Amino acid sequence: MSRCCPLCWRLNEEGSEYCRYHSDARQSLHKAFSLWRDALEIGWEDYLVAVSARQESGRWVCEVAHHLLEKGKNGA
Amino acid sequence: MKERTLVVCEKPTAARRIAHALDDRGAPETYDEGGVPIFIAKRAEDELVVVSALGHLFSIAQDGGKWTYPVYDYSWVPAHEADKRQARTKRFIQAIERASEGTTRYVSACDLDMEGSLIAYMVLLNVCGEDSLDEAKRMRYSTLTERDLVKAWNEMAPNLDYPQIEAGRTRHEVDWLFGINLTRALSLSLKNASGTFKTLSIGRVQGPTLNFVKEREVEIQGHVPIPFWVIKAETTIEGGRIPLDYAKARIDKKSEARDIVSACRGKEGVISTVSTRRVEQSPPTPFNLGDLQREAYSKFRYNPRTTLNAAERLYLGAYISYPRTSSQRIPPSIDVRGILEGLRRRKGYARLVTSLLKESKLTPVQGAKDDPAHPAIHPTGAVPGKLTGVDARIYDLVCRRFMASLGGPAVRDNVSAKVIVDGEDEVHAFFLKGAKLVEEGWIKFYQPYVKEKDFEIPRLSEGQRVPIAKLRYLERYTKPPARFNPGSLLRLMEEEGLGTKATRTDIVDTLFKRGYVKDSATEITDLGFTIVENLERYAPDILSVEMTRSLEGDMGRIQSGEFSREDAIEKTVEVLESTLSGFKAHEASIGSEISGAVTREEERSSYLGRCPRCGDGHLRIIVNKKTGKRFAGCSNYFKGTCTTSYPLPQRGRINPTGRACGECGAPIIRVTSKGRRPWELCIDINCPSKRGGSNDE
Repeated sequence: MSRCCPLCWRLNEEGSEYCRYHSDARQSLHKAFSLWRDALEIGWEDYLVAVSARQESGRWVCEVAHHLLEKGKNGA
Repeated sequence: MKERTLVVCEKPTAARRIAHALDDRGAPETYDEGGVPIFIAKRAEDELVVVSALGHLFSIAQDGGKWTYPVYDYSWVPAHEADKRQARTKRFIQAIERASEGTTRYVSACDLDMEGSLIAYMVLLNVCGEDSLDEAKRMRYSTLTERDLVKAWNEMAPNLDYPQIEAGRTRHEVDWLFGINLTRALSLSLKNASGTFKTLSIGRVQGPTLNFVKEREVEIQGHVPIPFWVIKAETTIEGGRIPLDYAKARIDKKSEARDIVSACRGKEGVISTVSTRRVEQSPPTPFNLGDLQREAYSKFRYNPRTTLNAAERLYLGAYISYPRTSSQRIPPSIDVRGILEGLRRRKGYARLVTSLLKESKLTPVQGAKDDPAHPAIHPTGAVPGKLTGVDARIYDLVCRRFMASLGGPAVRDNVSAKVIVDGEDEVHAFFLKGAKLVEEGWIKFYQPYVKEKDFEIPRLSEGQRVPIAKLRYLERYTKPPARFNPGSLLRLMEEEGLGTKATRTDIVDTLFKRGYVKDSATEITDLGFTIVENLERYAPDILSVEMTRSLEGDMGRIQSGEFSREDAIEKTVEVLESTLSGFKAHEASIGSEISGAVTREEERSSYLGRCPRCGDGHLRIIVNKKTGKRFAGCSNYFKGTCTTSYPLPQRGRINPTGRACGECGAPIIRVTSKGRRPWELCIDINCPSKRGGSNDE
């Protein structure tokens, strides 16, 4: 049964806990982590905090970063 | 024998100019017919009855039936019958009907484009009767100067331009079919789901345009910034400070940037190579409409509609040529020297024009884009009296651009020197760059609209040692793409072949009017986003650039006689039938999603921020149902725990800024009123920031 994205009103994408936009944002976050890690020698949680504080970050990216932090997930 | 000729013009101002130009004495008789001016001009033995339309006097309306969809039956009817807001057009139709009594010949003197041709055709067909079309001729002009109008009269085309008329008529019918059906489908889905009525329009050009804005927003909201570092330094040569850029523009690791800086710190550099490249910059092409709108946005932040309106006023005043043109070319038939002689009389241009007129040959630079009906926008040489505000700025931009297009190339010497610094483990390279304007060329005609980019540096020689100072590494992050502004959105539409020069401005205006986008940065709203998402799912053709481009191609083929109006309408109905059936099947879920977006949008636009008094309530804009006045109130009022309220300005649109006042903590709002610059204020009238008033103390 389809469920609602925890971060907005849209339905979840199949097989994902998020809608298509937040799901894409999560993928982009994972993809960019290796670049941040190499550039700043930074861990996953510090990375999520840093990304969500940047004004260049997209709204969906910040929302996913906050959500992952809240859940204490370590997706890296 | 004296003949009476009916001359149909597009607007009253144009009719006045045309009548004055064609009357032998330059003073036509004028009378008022139910509030509509009619001009009687005498030309040789003939009498010309010059009448005016008011844009389109006839438009399309549904043949009977209810406010539902699909709708495929329609007719052309007087505009006031199709739309009550067009009530004024009734008087124009009646006035033309009376004025045309006894006329035996007919002339279309409307603007020379698809719309103008269609306006005159519909007037003649529906007011003067089908037979009048056999006797109708067409004036072709690009400026409303007396010289051009008399020439256009003497060299009139013997028939109306039927291919243009047919293409224009098809465009109106196709757009009407798309617009009426899709707008009703969207609006009814909302009404049936929530009981709320709101006009939710969409069309074959509006759809793909809104989709561009949505796709850009997806990129922005999904952007993850990536860190990188840049290394900057300075050197001092002959007492002047000159910036140095590290050879590698972007360094991906902080540790690497730090190592480079420590390796170069305190060192001297040696200039290893110096190169000078002479570059010629050609003059800009004269404006077409899109170029003018983009330049006016870039220089003055005027939206495309403001620029177009000003350009049309200047055209009707006979100060510039017809603005709705795609052309960036000035044909040889235009008397450039004569125009310049006229401009010389205007204070501020005299010196520039005199220097241009010294040239033996004056050939404007020609752009790639052309328009069969009109040249690029150019001044006519008629000198306006006192122009103010937007009109003055747009006129200046057009005149200076025209003069610049006649200037020579600007010539620059670009100097680049490589500076080598011997680090501990490796050699590092920096670049020092400068530019010197050698010949001003066209730039002097286009001031103050050219930014000075030159940075002159002293003479350098290979082997010269230079100090390296202010060495530092700076952290940077990749940015998301910028949102469209009205100018860049118009450019994209033009590049993608969406709409025409005459319709693009209206399409962008409609996106704002419907609440699909907001702010000058063209940010898509929740409502706009939801509309696109639903169309993506159930009617993807409407967002497709290819579908619209194919229909535009059909219009072009109608003009060249290779395609018929009937075929284009049939194709449109086919697309609509499949689209609307998919839509109807999912009407309930579409309506419920749109309803959610409308509610969220309303909540967002009324939310001002946290209440500074109680701390946990939310301040919202509330409208008093009895008085209709608006104020800001705390959400805790209904719980009985907070009675905070603030009066709000009663005029203008209020937009929350999301920021709180630094002095009192109350929300800051932005108020936008027609004809005024938007201003921001703290909503607390007792805020300390508002005390004092004078800065003299």
